[in-house]
Formats: sequence, structure tokens, C-alpha cells
Amino acid sequence: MNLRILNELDRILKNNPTLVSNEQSLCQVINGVFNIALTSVDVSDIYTLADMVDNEVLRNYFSNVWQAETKKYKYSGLSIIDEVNALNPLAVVDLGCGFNEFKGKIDNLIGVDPYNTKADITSSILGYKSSTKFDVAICLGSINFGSSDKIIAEVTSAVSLVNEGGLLYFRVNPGTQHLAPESKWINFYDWDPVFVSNIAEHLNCELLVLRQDLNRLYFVLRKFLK
Amino acid sequence: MRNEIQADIKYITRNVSEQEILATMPKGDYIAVFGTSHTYGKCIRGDEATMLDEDDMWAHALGNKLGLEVLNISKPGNYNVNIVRQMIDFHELPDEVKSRCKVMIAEVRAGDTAGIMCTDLIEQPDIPNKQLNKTITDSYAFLTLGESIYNWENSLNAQFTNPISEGRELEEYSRSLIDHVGHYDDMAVPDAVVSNVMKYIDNHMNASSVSITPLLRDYDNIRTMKMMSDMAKIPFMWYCWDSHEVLSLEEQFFCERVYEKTSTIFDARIPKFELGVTQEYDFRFGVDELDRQKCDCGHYGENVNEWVAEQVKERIIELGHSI
Repeated sequence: MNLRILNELDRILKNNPTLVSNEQSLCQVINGVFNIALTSVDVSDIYTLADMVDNEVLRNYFSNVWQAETKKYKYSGLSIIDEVNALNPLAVVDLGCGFNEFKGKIDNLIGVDPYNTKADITSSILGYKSSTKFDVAICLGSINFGSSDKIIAEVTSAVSLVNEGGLLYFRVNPGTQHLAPESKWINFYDWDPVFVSNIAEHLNCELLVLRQDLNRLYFVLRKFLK
Repeated sequence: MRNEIQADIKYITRNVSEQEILATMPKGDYIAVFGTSHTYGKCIRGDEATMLDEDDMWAHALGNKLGLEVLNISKPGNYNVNIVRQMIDFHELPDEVKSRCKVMIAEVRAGDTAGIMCTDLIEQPDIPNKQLNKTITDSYAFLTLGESIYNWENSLNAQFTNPISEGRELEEYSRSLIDHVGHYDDMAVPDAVVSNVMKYIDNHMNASSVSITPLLRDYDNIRTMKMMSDMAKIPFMWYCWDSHEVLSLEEQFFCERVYEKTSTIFDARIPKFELGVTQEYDFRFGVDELDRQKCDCGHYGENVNEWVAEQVKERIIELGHSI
């Protein structure tokens, strides 16, 4: 849940109760406030509406504005290519792959992204299901939007996609807002080392690496054998 | 006297080169100690008169007993969140240096009312904190002001909710805090703002000092420290100097029992300091002796430090760590 958007929607409805019964006007207001282009809105409950707006805000930013900066990271940038290939993985999934930069560079990789047309599979992290398990999952900056419940669900889903003993590579944002105006309503989750260790323990994973990588945290988990 | 660079190995933050850092590292096997002013050997006011000689500090006394060098990464006013970050920095050291570390010992906070002691206010003058935005080029700086310099409101909240200003003038603290975050940049801070901030701090101090939340948060950080040491495959031990002054023993033990269900951090605690060094020292030697050892600003002399070093050494031997 994007609490920032939820609070703003609540304020809008509080100031303009008539919008509840006028879907078209509400849609116009929402598009104006959040700088998106919804054609219809679900006004049945504010939480559903907030999710809908959040998804559209993310879509707008990540399909039209955001540019990859993979090269600038020391640990979670291009060095991951050699690191993952050295594992000789049979299957790798890049969750939130963006422009799918690792495609063709990391062996046996599938890129999954909800917004970028370069992805092999268009899907959200929670929506992505696979019949095969992966040796490695890469999640670079993609599990970072919304509240703790969503983050925990997404990390859980990523871990579930990986074989026992498999590795998961993460780059996470400690809550730093991006600079583009289109990112204004994005709820960047404020990752910190304690949450990293807590989630690792919660998901029965071993924390192999935890490092500062420029203004992000980089960490690697290994899924424990049962 | 210790090298200041060694005392804070944040070479990422300080733009100190790796070569400069490595030059300050122990050359042989060593123990790495993380901690607060009690481990640093001086008080937060930086009063040289209250500084301990290096050999009288518990960490170095312990090093002498074990025949090991000491990497002292403590800081006056340090707090657990920062110790975790220092451990992240520790992991940046070359494997050859890390592999010579025989044990990591953290002198942590566990519910003590000092809480976050605003290391950032006192020791981070180089952070360009007047501009809370993209002008910050230091890659690590955004993590060093309280919780996050970008998220300054939360940073302030995090500091307000800890009774950090205890022992300091509240007004002076409020002004420096406001000034530090640059909200009033080149202007004098209006009295009304200071007054409101003081009220805010006061309310939060009252609320947090009777809550178990700070203690649980400290345990969370200690769990992360333990995981970090596991990551480096270096034995880890921890203890606190001061116990929680407000919670009752029953409340403290309740928190521990709750936490024991999900963590093994208490296995790594030095058992003799279950209630904190000062409490235990008081029990064993009496309050008069404790007071004799205490300096004006609440730090302790060589007898206490020697006693701490001996207890830690006994625990290391008891656990059979290969030193």
C-alpha cells in the first residue's frame, strides 16, 4: 500500500465528498493530482483506489521517465554478471529487470518487469508464477515500493522462486526519493540493515553479504536447505 | 593515543583512502571492539581530564591479557544503528585484514536512556547538511545523520523519541538540532520554534522512557550485529554498560523472553553483564566504590575497566574461542 497516495486520496474525498458519486470527475481530479492518465477509477473502496493510482504512478515513472544507472554501482552493477555466471546457473530470474540489461550477458536469464517492454515476461513480482525453480534471483531496486506488507510479500515471493541453496541478489533504497517530478508520489520503502537481517531470518535465508553500495544497500541471501 | 581514523573506519564517509585506513589497521591478530564513550575512553564532552590512558581502557586491557592487538571502532555517543553501519564498513576491509580478527565485541546500548546520543550533531561537521537534498555528494553521508538525512523529519523524530538530551540543556540541544538540519540556514532560530521543539522532545521523552520499544529496537540491532559477524565468520559477543534505568527488571526480562523465541542473541551476551556493567559492579563492590570510579560525566575509571576486561576474557576462554 502506498500510504502517501492513500492519505492524499483521503484528503481529496474529505474536501470533495461529491466526487464519490461522480466517477468521471474523480478520475479527472486524480489524474490531475497524481499526473497520470487513468480512464476510469474504482471507487468501491479507497484502498483499491490507492492501489490503482499507485500502479499507474509507477507505470508512468518506470515506463516513461526512469533510466537505468546500473554501471555506477560497485557491487550491484555490472560486476554481478561475472559473479552470477561463475555459479554456472541453469536458470536465473531478474525480477524487475527494467531494460533487461543482463539479458544475453548472464546465462539462462529471464527478465520479468511489469512496466518495461524490454522484459521477457510482463508481470509484477507478486503476479509472476513459474513452474521451474531458479538458481539465482536478481532484484536490483525493484522491491522498494509501498509499505512493509507489500515488501515482505515480494521478498517472500522472490525466495519462493529460488531453489534451496540458491542465491538472491538485492540492491535496495533506504528511502531516498528520486529527483524526477514524476516520482513525487512513489512511496520508496526505507530499507535498513535491521530489516535486511530480520527478513533474512524470517524467510530462513542466510545473509551472505551486506554492503553499502553508493547510496543503496546491497545484500545477498542464500535460501537454506530444508 | 589512538589514531582518529582508526577510531572511525568510515573511509567511505570521510573520503579517506583505503591505503590510509590499512596503515592504521593492526598488523597481527586482533580483537575488534565496537562501542560508545565507555569503550572510547573519553566522555562525550571531550574533556581531556576524563580521558583514560589507553592501557587502562577495558578493550586494550583485554588485548593485553590476550596478547592481541585491538581495533577500537568505538565513538563517544555511539548508538546501535551506527554500530551496525560501522560493521558494514568493517566488512569492506580486505579479507586478509578481517581474517586476523579473532573476536568482535560490541559494547552496545540496551534500553539505556542515552539512546541515540546524536553522534551526528557532535562528530559530523563535514556533512553538508544545510542542503538536505541532491547537493550531498558524499555517498554515505545520507545515512549518518540520525536515520536518514534525506528524510529529515523522520530523522528528527527518531532523535526526539530518544531522551538524548538528558544531561544537556534542552534549549541548547533544541537550537543545535534545528540549526543542524539547516531548516533555518543562515537565520537565527525563532524562539517560538525552539519552544515547540522543546515541548515535542519533552513529550516524546516522557512517552519513550516508559516504553519497551527502545529496548526491543536495541535487540533488533544487536541481532543484526550478530548476523554481520556470522557473515564474516568471526565470533561475536556483546554487553551493555548501562541497563535500562526506567523499565523494571520484570519488564526487561519479559522483553528478553519474548525476544528469545525468535533470536539467539542472548547466547552471545556476556552473562556476567546481564544487568549492565554498572549494576553488576555495584552489586559486587558496592555503590561507594562505583561512585569513586565515576567521573563527572558518568564514565568510569581504570578499576571498572580492568574488571570488565577480566570478565570478557573469562567468557572468551569459557566459550573456547581460538585466540
